[in-house]
Amino acid sequence: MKKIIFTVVGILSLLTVSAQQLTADEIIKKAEDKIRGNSSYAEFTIQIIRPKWTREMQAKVWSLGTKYSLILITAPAKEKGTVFLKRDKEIWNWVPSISRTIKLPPSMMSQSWMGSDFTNDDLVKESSMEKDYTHKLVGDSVVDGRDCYKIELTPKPDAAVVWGKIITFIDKKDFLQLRTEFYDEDGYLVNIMTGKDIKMLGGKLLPSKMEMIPVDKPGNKTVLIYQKLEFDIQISEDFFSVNNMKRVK
Amino acid sequence: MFNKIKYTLLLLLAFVSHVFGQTESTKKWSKYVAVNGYLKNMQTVSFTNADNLVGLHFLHNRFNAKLFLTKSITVNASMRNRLFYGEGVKNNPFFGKQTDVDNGLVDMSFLPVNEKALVMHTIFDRANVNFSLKKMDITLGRQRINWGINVAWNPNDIFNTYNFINFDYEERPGSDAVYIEYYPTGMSSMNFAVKPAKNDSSWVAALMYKFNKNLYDFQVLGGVYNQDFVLGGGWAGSIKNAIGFKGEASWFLPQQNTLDTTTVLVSSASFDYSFENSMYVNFSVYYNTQDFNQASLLALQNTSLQLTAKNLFPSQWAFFAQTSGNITPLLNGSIALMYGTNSNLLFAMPSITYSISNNWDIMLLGQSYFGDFSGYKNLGNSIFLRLKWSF
Repeated sequence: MKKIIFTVVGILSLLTVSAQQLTADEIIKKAEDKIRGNSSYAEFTIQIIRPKWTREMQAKVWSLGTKYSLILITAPAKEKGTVFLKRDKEIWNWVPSISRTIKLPPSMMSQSWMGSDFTNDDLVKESSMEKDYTHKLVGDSVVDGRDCYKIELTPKPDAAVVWGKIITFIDKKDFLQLRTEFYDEDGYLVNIMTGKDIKMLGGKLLPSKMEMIPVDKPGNKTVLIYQKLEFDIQISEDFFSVNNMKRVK
Repeated sequence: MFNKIKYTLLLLLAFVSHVFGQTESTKKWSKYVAVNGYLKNMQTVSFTNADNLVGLHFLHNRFNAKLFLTKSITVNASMRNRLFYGEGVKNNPFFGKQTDVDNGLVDMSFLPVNEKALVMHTIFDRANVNFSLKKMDITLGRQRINWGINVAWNPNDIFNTYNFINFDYEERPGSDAVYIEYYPTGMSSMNFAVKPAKNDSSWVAALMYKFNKNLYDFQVLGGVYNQDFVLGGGWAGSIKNAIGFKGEASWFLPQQNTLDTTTVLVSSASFDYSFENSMYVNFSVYYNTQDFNQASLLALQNTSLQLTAKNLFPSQWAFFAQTSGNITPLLNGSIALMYGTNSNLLFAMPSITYSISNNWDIMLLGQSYFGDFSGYKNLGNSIFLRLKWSF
């Protein structure tokens, strides 16, 4: 019995040792892999918080690779049933009240999503922390009582990204991205993104609440709360079709 | 009279409390039933000059219900209820009669209240059953069959002609029809629709094939449109992967050639673009081989009359420009202009919409017409103030 405990402790300490020896590249890869699957399904609420008002919306989103995604709005009442479909470079919008599929101009992608601090592009993430940046481990830190790696990300010269620098704090045990600071090209801190309310989502331990806080606008933030998150679901390209927009529930 | 008002108000109240009260239990029922809609209060003032103001007010309720009978059978019903009052009602003894119109095969339009100064109109503009199979949808009954592509003019929309000016009825009246949609692949479909009519010469039946190729959506259609044969087609794609580029055209050929029949080509093309600050712009052009038509001028202004796919605007050539965007995150502004070369007809529609909360909006909208009819002049103006609660 003692032997077993000894072995388990030994393995654990070995694991810890190897974890400490991870490079910045490996840590970022582990963190990105954690929130990425080849396909996914999510139910979420997005809250736009401003000093004098708040607005909330809810949606279901399906995705396959980086090419395909489909969003069904479930609240507020006015937008309920509206569907957005993205297939590579094309986007469509199904408006149930007028029974029409509208093809949207591609320029719609870079717009702020429903007036929030996220853009359409953020939601169907095409840029990657892993591939578009070089990573440097700059130290250790503690966020919300959890031990974190502090990693500095510098964009690669040819990467099409808007940030000058990103500093991210990744939980040492579960590789959760708990805090990320976005700096512009002059080195000023622009946005802070935090990950909170850690729980099991789609079989993984993940922050269920993400907050995006613009630093120069006190009282402003956008909150994204996941009610459901599933990875590597069984889904085919045919799901992401103009015909299916009308049927999806 | 007062009893009727009381009755109507009670009905509305019962309905509102019903919707509010249901929030908890609806969750249990949402597998079988889905309801949504809105309640609007519209204040309208119409005038040609300040001496001649006519006010019309109405409460407008829309109630959509879906009943999921089985996994593949859904029953849809939508009800449009409007309670009119004000001078516009009082000055027109035929207001009720003029409002109580149902162009469908089955008359589903009712006038529960028809008094001198108060009219209540109810119409079921959707009432259908949908069978959803693996590669096919079959819908029977009153429904919207929307084949149009552009924002302003839709020559391909032969089942439900859309009048851009009638902004308060975006859902449009439904067609009493049989509609079969077959999907060979996810991105292509073969659609067949028949809209029978009491009158033999008012039938509409057509087949449309839709597909996607080289980042463009295409559609081709052919069929019978009233006393004509119709052939049409359209596309939706983009230029340089940024500017939306769409178009559609329909060619109407008389089934019988007589002296007063002629082939007509109706076409429209548009460009649209969305800026990073959320500003959206749309430019469209319209061309009809038919010359100026008085009937479509009347239909354009009087929204109880319907435009036809053959006659979408009272001018041979017309241009449309629209821009909309957020002035502040909660305040949206929009201006639409339509210009027809015949009689230099100009229509302007500016509006602002303010989001009060998640489900409440208020909108102020103006409409003005100008034209060259024995001298260039203002033909009429309307101002609308609309409060909307969506549920």
